[in-house]
Amino acid sequence: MVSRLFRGTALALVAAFIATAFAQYGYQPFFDQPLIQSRAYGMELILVRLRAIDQFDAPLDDDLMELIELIGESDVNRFIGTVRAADPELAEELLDEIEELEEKAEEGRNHHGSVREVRELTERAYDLIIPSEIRKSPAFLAALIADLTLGEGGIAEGYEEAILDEEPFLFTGGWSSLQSVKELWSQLAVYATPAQAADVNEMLAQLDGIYFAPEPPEPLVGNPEEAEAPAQRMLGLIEPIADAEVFAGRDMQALAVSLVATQAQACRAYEAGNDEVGLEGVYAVGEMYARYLAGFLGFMAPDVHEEAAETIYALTGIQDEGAEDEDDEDEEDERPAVADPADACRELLEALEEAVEVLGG
Amino acid sequence: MEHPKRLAAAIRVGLLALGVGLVSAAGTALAQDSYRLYVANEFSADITVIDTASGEVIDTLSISGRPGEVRPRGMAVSPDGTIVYASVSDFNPVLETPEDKILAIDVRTNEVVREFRAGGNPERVAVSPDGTQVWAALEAIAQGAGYDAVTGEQLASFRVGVEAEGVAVSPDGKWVYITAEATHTVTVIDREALKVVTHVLVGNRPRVVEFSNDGSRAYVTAEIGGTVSVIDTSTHKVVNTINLGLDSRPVEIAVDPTSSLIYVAGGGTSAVYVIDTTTDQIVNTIKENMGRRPWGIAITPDGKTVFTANGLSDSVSVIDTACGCVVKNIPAGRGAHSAEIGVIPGGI
Repeated sequence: MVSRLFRGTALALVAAFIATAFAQYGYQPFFDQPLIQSRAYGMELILVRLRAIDQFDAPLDDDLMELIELIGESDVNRFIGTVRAADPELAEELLDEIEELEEKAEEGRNHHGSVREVRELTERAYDLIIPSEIRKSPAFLAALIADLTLGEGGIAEGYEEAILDEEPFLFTGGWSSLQSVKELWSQLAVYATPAQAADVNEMLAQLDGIYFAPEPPEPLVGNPEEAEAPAQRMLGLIEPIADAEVFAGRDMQALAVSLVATQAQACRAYEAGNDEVGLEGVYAVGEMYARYLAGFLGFMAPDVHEEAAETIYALTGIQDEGAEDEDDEDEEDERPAVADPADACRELLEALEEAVEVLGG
Repeated sequence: MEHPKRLAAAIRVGLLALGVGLVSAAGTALAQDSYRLYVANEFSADITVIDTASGEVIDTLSISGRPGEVRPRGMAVSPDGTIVYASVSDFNPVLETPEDKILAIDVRTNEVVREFRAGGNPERVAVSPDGTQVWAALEAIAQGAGYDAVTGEQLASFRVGVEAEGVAVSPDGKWVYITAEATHTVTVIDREALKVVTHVLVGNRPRVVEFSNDGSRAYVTAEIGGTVSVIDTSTHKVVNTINLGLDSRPVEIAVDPTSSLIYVAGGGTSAVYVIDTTTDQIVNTIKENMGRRPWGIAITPDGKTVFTANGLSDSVSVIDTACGCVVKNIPAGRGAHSAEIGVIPGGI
């Protein structure tokens, strides 16, 4: 077992070599600092959800309630272990306030005060666990923009899911993601030439036209992929500005190797009894797997994919697009309970190692 | 084996040469083919028709009364050049009567002479070398399907990768290659045996596939990968990957019927990459005066002129292949997406 986990470290070096061997840009944030990016993404997601629900007064629609539930069930798990290690009181305070927010919203009470509290605590956590020099770095900013654009419920997917799943408040989530992206872009724009900035601003203006207000239009119909083209193009424009590669799946083999290394690290945390930190690693892996590897492996190696996807879902609730579509067609699957997270972590590690082999490793 | 479409072009060139001889011999001119450029405009739901000799817009064909929701995208031309097929996708999934279809446009009259349903968002189409079949990549349902070009009857359909995008039929008619954006694959279909032969992993987010003139190679653009994958069609394996740069975001490919060059539209850099397929090297990058975000690209059968459909500037850039330079820009409709050349044999 130990050798398997330390093989992960060796694979990290291989991943770094593969990734840099083909690199056009100087930085590859999803390879260079996957856990930092994942933790920051978790905090950004909370800020996105808070902005979305802050647009509406109580009582909140059921769809907006789902956004709040995601904060406690998913977003906070991406970073709370690291916050607890640095400041246990802050971690507890944040978890308590999230619970308070959920309760207020469920009971139809005014939630705006709790929104402010959770936001403030999240920002404190941000300052605590992400060093300021990293927060200001173009590669970090660009990766977060990619997360909020391509991730579940983000700018591109939020619009698509709002229409296809007939869940209009996912539109509000996408709108809020766009506001966060614009804030991040304002920090990154200083690195752009006037022509580059004009191009990115043009794409943002197109996205503003799609997400023209926090409230979803009625009826919400149209091309579900309307937001995807400008969103993708914006990311393509941002890469040279940040000198950073933000499409982590360009080289799927390198990504799979990198995920094995991150997963091995997560399993070591579980072995040491630090489940919260272990889970952070699984979130980092699950997000990249669902976004970039699930499509190919589901098509070419369904057995490997099934093992990986089921374990990721059980541990984190993250699903790839294909699995979500199946759930939409059938009855929604109950998320299975995990008897032993450390065991599940190792199973996922094995599945990822098989994925590396499928991808030619 | 010579692609019939290109063979026809060669015959026409030969006839033209013969015609020149006849002019001097008999004092009478043999009329020259004329070309029309068709540009599918994704957002204005129409097709711009341009006379390639004058550079003038001579017609705009309305495709749907629901622009934005119904979109013309990929096109293909019959082997003799006289029919342009256009794929039309309906993106509004709530309607019960989707307009997913393939149109056949008569190049001489610019009239839609046939249309048939192709459900599942046909993104791009290809025509078999004998002209009897049209193949479509059905994006929404991850299928590739073949249709009778006259009756529109669906002849076969196959599961391919997710978000099917590009499609091409090999010059010998044996293979159909279909790309899929989300799985980064090319599915190879044996057109005679009507079965899937294999799936090939190519660059990230593959878009368009085109065969070389002799059919020995297939070229696949990868938009996010910034590459062109070169597939040996005898083994269906990737034998080379041409790196255009991560910011290039390549989409359509035009294969020069008269040389070893291919022209690749680079939407990310607003450039056209010229690749010599004998070496798989980029021999020129055309950027000056290009319109913004070229996605579509087409070349005239004589190989003298390349046209790009520019989606962000709603225009067509005209490239003189002799100088490798943009000589003109022509307005098109909103969201110019794809380009194809139709032929009027003997001219108008």
